[in-house]
Amino acid sequence: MSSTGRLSHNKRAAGSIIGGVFILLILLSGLTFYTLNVNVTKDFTETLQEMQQLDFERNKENVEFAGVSTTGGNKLNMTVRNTGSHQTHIIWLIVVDETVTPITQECHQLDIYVEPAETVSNLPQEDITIPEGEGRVIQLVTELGNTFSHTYPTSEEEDRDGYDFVDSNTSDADNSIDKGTHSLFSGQQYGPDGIVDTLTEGDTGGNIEDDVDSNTSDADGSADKGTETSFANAQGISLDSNCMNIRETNTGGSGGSEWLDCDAFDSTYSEWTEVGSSPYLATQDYPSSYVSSISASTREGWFDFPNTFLTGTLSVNLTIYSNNDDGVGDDRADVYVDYTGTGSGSLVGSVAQHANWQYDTINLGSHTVSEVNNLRVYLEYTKTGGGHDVRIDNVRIGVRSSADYEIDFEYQWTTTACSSDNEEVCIYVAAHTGTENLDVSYWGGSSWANLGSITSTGWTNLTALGLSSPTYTIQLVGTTESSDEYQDDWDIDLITLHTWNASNYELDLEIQWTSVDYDEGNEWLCIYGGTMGSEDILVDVWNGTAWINVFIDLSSGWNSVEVSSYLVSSSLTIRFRGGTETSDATKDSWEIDATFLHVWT
Amino acid sequence: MILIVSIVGAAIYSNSVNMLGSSSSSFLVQMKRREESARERFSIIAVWWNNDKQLNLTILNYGKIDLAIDAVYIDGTAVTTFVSGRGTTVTRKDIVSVRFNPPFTIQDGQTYELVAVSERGSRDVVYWKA
Repeated sequence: MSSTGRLSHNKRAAGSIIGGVFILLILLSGLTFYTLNVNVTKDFTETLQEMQQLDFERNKENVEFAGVSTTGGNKLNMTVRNTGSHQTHIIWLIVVDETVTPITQECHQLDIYVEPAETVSNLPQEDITIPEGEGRVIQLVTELGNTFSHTYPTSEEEDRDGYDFVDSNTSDADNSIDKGTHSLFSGQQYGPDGIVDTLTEGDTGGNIEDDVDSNTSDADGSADKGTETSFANAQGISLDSNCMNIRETNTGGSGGSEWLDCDAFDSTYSEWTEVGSSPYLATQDYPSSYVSSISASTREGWFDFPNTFLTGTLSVNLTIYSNNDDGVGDDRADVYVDYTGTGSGSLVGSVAQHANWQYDTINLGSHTVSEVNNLRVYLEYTKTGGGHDVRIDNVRIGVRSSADYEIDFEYQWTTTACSSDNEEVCIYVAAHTGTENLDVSYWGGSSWANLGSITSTGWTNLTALGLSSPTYTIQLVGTTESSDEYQDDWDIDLITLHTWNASNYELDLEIQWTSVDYDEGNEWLCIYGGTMGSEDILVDVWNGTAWINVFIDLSSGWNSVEVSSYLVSSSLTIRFRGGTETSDATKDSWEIDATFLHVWT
Repeated sequence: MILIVSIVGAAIYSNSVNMLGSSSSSFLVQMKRREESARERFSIIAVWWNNDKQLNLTILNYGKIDLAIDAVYIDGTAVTTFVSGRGTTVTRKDIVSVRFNPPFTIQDGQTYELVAVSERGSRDVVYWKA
């Protein structure tokens, strides 16, 4: 009995367990399917959210055609700008030709991402030809499913819509001169189309050629010497083969010579033996008239001479016909000469130290006419060994008048640069007749200081010492200014002061809009750069009183900046400026393809 | 007793699994269709009418899934004669040209409602002036 009851109880327990297991399996299956459905529902919800986001972004997407044109070869060239608030991915370009039947359309795949406010140009990258004079409908299709159309050619109304290209490069808002150059300003006024305006830095260190201003100065208070023709031909800043000629003038004698025989004896000294008639020494006539001595230190004189007829500086020698009894190295007559007519005279030489009769010549050098006319001579006997005679038969002076060609010209700068790093006086001599050189000096305020010499034709470049004020005077003087018997002349093409500083390349170029729509909600300055120099190029906006920097550098491609705060009137001026404006020895250049203001609301 | 419980439990479990599976499968299929439909986006980006009496719809698939155009309606009238493009699979970001003969005469200068319908039932509508 108990055995039967235990068995019955155990069977119910096993059945309950099996039933529980099945119930558990059923619940697990239900949970599994529930979880699966929840996940599917969740995925679906996420998909809906994703697509809603896509629709949202699609509605916010906007692309504008900033420019549509054809370049060389009639190739389509477009510039587009993302004016939406999300990145745009352009995936198709469709070009529809409605001028033919049936209408054709070309579909070109693109892969262009354009960020908000970004402008992309030179689209498409592949060549699409639009024959000259024909039109097309151009569509850009984005990944988000938007289509943006443009009809080419652009109507004037569309062309003006919000895009205002720069008008002028002649403004001067800041009253400072431009630095650097435009290659083609109109290159900025259209495009971007590959036609660029290359901005190139100018050398503000550079060279200054300052030609001579005047030939009438007289710094030293002495008259010019020489002749000068066509001074203007030495002016200018470059060689032109038109020359000024300067030529030496004769400040010496007229030329010629003469002998002046003794014509008077004043007996101041009369200690020699006098034979014949006074003045005893007038001619070579021994033994008719002569003087002789045998006593030591005896004197005879003064002997005078007639006046000369020659002029100018005179070369003078004294010639005495004489002999002695004992020959060479023995007794002699010392000769004393006075050039004033009242002086005591000075020893100029000795004569008669030879037994034969002959003329002994003493060179007296150069003298004036007055000195020659006052010249007088006395003789003093000098004894050697036993006393023997010294005889003088004739005394005469030989006078020669020599030409003396001189040149002395002043040239002056009156407003020259005087604070440059390098300063040179540069003189170009095209031709030179003669062998004499020209000394070049500058006036230091009280005297001339030599700069150097012109020794050959061609350029002579001399450091302009003493150039410390705008007025600078130089002097050209011949290097042989006495007893110069030869007349030189020079053809001078140019006299200039060449001053220069170390090269410093700078850029400062203004450009201006003159009739801008300035009351829109969005006002952007857009500049499209081509190949850009390694130096930064800055862009400043003029706010009426000062320059405000808006770009610290421009990149190749588009550069855009909001300028609403400066665009408060119909005029706007900007300038391009180099990033390195001092000690810049490198000349940079930058290509600007297009510069415009994009305004819209 | 154990046998009875096992047989009944297995029957109930089997029936439950079948019911859940059937229900879930139906749900999944439905959700899959709805999701695919939700992921589908296309746009008629161009309509060209040429003098050969044919209209050309250029359709862009900008959705997240491939699609095919199944039907076109002009002012509610179904297009019956397709030249090309119908049923062609359009992959993502791709375009397809659907060319057809309009079901009635197109009048120049008149505006028509064009509706393109995908095989999943998505549609896009444009108003086109002939």
